[in-house]
Amino acid sequence: MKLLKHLSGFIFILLMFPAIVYGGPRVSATVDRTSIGPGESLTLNVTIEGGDGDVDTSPVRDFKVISRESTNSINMVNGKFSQKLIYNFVLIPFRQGRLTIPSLPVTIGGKTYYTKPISINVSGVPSETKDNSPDIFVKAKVSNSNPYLNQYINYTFKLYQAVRIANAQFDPPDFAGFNATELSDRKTYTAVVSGRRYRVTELSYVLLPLETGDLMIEPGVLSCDIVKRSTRRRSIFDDPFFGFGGASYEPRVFKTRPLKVSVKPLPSYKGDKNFSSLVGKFDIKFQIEKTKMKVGDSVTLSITIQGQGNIKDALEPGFGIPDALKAYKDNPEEDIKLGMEGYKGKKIFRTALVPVKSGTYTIGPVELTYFDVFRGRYVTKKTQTITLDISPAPTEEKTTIATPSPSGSLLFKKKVEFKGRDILPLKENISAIKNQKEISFPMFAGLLALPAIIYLIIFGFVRLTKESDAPSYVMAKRAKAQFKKAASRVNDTNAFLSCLYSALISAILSKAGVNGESITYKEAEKILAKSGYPEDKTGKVIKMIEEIESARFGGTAINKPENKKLLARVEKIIKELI
Amino acid sequence: MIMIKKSFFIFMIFFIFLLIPLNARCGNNARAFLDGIKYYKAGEFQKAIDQFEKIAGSGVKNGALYYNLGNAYLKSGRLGKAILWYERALDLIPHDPDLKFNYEYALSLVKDKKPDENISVFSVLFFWKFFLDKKTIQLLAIVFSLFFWILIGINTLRRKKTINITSCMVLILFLIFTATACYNYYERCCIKQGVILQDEVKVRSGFDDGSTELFELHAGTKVRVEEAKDDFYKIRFSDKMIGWIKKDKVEIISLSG
Repeated sequence: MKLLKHLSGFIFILLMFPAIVYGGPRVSATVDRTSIGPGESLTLNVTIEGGDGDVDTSPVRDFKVISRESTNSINMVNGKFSQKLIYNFVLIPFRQGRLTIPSLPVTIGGKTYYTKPISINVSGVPSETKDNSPDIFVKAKVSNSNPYLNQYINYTFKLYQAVRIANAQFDPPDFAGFNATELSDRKTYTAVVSGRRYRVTELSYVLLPLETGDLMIEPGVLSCDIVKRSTRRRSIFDDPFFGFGGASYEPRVFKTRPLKVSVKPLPSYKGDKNFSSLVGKFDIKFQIEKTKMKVGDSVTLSITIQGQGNIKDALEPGFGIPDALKAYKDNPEEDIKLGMEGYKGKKIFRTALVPVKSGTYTIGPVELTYFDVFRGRYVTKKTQTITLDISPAPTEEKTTIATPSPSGSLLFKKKVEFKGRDILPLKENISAIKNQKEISFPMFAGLLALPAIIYLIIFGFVRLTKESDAPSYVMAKRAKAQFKKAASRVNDTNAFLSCLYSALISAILSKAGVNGESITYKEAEKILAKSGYPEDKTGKVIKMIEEIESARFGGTAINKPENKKLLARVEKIIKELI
Repeated sequence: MIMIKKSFFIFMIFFIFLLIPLNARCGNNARAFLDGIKYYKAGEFQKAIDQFEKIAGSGVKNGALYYNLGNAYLKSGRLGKAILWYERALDLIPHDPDLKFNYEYALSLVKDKKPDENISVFSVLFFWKFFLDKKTIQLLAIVFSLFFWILIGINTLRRKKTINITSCMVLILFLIFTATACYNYYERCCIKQGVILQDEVKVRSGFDDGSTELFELHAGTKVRVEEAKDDFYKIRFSDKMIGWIKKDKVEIISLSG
């Protein structure tokens, strides 16, 4: 907010700079009144003319300073601009007498200027007494000004208002020496005081004294703006729509009187029972679900501590449990609420009991010793005893562990643990003197390689024996042989073409897996198509056969280089076919 | 024909003579074994140890025998030796429940706390090495090898030139277990583990008695033996605890080493 204000001021000055006549900054301090009663406040205005600066209120010792707001204005008088910045503070006197607001340093553009000191007279007569029915007043009280240590008391702040206020802000006391907790629900009601109706707002705190002796609760301070109807003529801008509303605000601060609380120490405890450290008023109950049961059954025993005071600190009171009963403690259950007189409610301690032996057993009584703040002395409350009648289990009389029952009783399983430690005996089998076979690395490597070796032997042998007789193998071999022969007879065209033709036909027949010497074009096409040979390549093969046949039988003269080219093309086809 | 009969007769006599020492040795071992059990039961543990050691010394490698030796040493109060023989037995009969029980009990008596072993990337990536014992890994490698070549054979019969996903998977498993088994062989022959035998052993910074005492180890603690020099072994207890120790105070677990 301050930054925004500085920024707007800066922009304004920047824009209006040529028009502003700078005559050097001036600072001044004014108050709304110089004489006040105790508990009243006054308003201090620090005005800075011709500049923008900060006011330091730290030299003010006799007053509590509450910073309110600041206003920035630009005025034009006779064609000359002047800037005025006003800081507004509310001052509450700490004491009576003639007090002084000292010179306040104001820093403007790195230079420090000082206001003049102002003398204030704080009279001993409170203004409340001047007026029997003021518009607004505040009150504070404690429920008990003489409590015991650890006894909860209540602090109440009340605001009485007969007029409208705005921007109310409550500054609670420090509550030094107490542990204070504000109650969340604030009360609002109407009350008539001295014949005048007031709207009362009530705030409450629960206080726990942490130390003994006289403790002071400082005044609670409420600052607010009293809404006052404007006396000037109403204009269109007085409409609430425009935000002005025709009302003016008078800032006021109200404070309560300081309160003294004398905290008493607890008297020394001289009883023979254990003091539970509870302070307040409490009661204790000792209950059990049933008193007759069988060995192995489960039953819940509960101790309830109920009352008001520091019940949260309550611990489970001790009570003896016979050895014939196994006890399993549960987490305590709490139902505690914070009220006007401190914490109030109950704390329940439950224990599951399982009888392991039949007989009649007595539990309790349970005792609780606390400090009764109402009686001002230590009180011991004692419960009745509980007698349990345990009958033997129906099936097994010497049951040691709870067993499940049809009614769904708890089953307590026991962890099996070693009772003693020793090693297991020797191995007496005579086979212990025999060597245990281990797989050595060479044996391991051999066993790994064995399947591969077997595979290679079997399939190598099968291939050698089976494929040598197969027509496809024979024809493929023949194709290779004929091609080799053709390659050696490049100069003899007839023999060359004959061998080449034979090689090509043998390669095609090897695909069909049949023996033969010659085939028709259609047969060749059929074989190649059946064997999955690509269609475009089949055409090339047929064309090649035609070419060789026409050269062979048509008497086309082919020279040696052409033979070699033809040989290369046929070689490529044969390689693809075989 | 007569010649053949003569030759066979001579061979048989020669074979019987060869078997005599073997049988005699077996008989001695059996007697020693029974005596060892008898002494053990009588509470004469040192005598039992002598008998069992005699059998082990004759070259018998048997998990049950090593287990008995571990028991006898433990009963005689020699924790280091007991752990040593239990470790040797674990190599041969890793799944034996009695051995596991007794070994755990013996370990609970060891004074030195096992060094904190961080979970290494190696142990995560090759988890099967730590889950399966050495023999199982070897057998798995052999089985997957056989399975793989059977699948290849089937592929060949079907005249398929490519291998399918099953074959690929089997090949991967075969390679994994073969590699692990090979590493285990390497570990056995090249990475030596030892057990501290004496109740309290000082580990020094050098291989002489005047060297600075670095730390102490106690009977039954397992260490890695990294190097031998003169009468000393260089041992590693943990990554940060290395030192030299006298050879007679530690014994290497692997008998082949």
